[in-house]
Amino acid sequence: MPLNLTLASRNLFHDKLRFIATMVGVVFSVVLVLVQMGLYEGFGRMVTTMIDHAEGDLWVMRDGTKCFEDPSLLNLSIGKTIRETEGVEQATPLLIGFSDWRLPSGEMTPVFILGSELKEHSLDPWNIIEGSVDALKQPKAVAVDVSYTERLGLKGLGTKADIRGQQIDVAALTSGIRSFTTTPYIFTEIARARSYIGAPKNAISYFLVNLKPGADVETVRKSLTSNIKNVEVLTRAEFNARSREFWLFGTGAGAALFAGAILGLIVGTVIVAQTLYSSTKDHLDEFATLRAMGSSNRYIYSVILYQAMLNAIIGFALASLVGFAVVWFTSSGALPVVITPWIIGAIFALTVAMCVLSGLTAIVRVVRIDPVMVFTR
Amino acid sequence: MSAYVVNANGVSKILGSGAGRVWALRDVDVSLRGGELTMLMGPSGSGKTTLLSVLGCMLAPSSGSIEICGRSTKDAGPEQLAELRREYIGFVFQQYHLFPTLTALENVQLALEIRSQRGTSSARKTKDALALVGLSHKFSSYPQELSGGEQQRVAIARAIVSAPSVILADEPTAALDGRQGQVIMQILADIASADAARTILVVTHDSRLTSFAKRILMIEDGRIISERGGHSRKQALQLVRAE
Repeated sequence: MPLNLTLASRNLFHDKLRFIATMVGVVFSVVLVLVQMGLYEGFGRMVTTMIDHAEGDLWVMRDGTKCFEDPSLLNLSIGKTIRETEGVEQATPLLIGFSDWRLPSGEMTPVFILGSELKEHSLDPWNIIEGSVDALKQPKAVAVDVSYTERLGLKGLGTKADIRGQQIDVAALTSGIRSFTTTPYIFTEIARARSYIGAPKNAISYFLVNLKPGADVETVRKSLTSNIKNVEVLTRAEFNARSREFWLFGTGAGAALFAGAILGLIVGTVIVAQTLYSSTKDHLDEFATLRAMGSSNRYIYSVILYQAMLNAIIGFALASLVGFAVVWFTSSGALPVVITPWIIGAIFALTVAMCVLSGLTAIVRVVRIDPVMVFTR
Repeated sequence: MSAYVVNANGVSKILGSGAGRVWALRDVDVSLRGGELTMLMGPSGSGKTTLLSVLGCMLAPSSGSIEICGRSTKDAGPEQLAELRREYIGFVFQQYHLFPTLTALENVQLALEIRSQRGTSSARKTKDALALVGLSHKFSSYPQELSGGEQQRVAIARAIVSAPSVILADEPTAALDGRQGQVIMQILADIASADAARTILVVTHDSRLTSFAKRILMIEDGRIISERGGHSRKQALQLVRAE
């Protein structure tokens, strides 16, 4: 191990109290950033969960639709035009909207209805733990998620309740399909969804379009937008991005999460800068001795930067443990913290940058060292 | 006769500015020859440390010229001066200035590492230097585990490990008792006489140590006021008694 690294690590661990204070600062900062970014990612995934699970190449929607939950409606009749368009293999309608679930006790709770044709290449419930998609074809049948057991008064399959005065039977139970709005999702057949929502006859929200093998997405999109008025045609990725942008930035939620992350970085930088500066000040005699011995400034900077890097690596490792604990605790919650490899990579890079930036304040102090001071101390 | 390793001609140094301006050195001429141990003596505030700093390329002179092994320090910036120190000079300080978190071996090795010397040859040189000062058994000791004399011996090993042409020692025995001081001076004298290409300048105001010097320079008010050969041990003792 090079001696500048040895010197850096021993200086770092020499004053244990200061080292602990530095670690608290780094861990606090990194955990804050990690959680904020994890919430951002988790929120981003939750707002697009339906789009991600729908099997379609293109989404046809009302012009100006901002997100999946947008209440804009289309007319079912455009389905014929879509299906006749060159390159289109299949077009399935989807209907979404809010309604109320009434428990036998008379208590009401808002729900989000998702109606589909319950066939392939549509938006059917997934992660089914009891019942089946086919069971939803029975009259009054709906699918709900077990995470809403208490809220919806579920007693397993066969639970009865009513939506807009119509009796429903729970025919399938899913796991992990949670809404970021905390409003439970109710999957059902599209015609029943229309009556649960109270939507006009022939009203639908989207057409999910599947293309024929080899069909060009752009060509089909152009044909659809020129043949049908007042619609937009987006790929899954585009609709996904639009929904994320609306919920994360249109509502200010994303900005708040980013502000929290930036605050964490600032706090971390200040704490590490302060402790590194005071550590450097305490070891000023040693740096002056190095300088007197003829060391280049570069070598001295390397000692400080190694110290900063060690702070970053150890702090990040400790913070990661806390971060993974947070991920585990929130995994079944309404808004899970999701940590992806890119978040880990980005936060590690940020941690290193934060610590190195903090090291610069110490370097500024060392630059002013006069080697002659070794004769007077 | 050996060649001069250090040549200072007409060196003056002004410290401070305005009303606080002080002539720390005035028109000093000093030449240090290889194979010799020279002592620089004088009262407090006479300019000993300033002269050591200027000859050690830590301070640039206000006027005059300095050559170390034929290389002029004229117009050298801080990095060039550091390079000259790295290349030609080893220092021994009154307070040792060892790194408390490094072992004796690492402290000495550091002097080689800043000169980009690493690996097995560096490890061998380090052990040889510590062996030369009689500390083969203290490689793994930290400074706080060593006596003052042992710490100063580590500092000497650190100064000589890179085989510099000039060793400048600032009051190397001031923090030691008389016996340990004699040991340190003997080591420095042996190092000087062992290599005709190396010169050692020791700043001290301990007259008992003059027997170790080949030459003694007396400085007062920033001027070299006398230069003479070193005393014999007997003369040195008389000097102490007289003081």
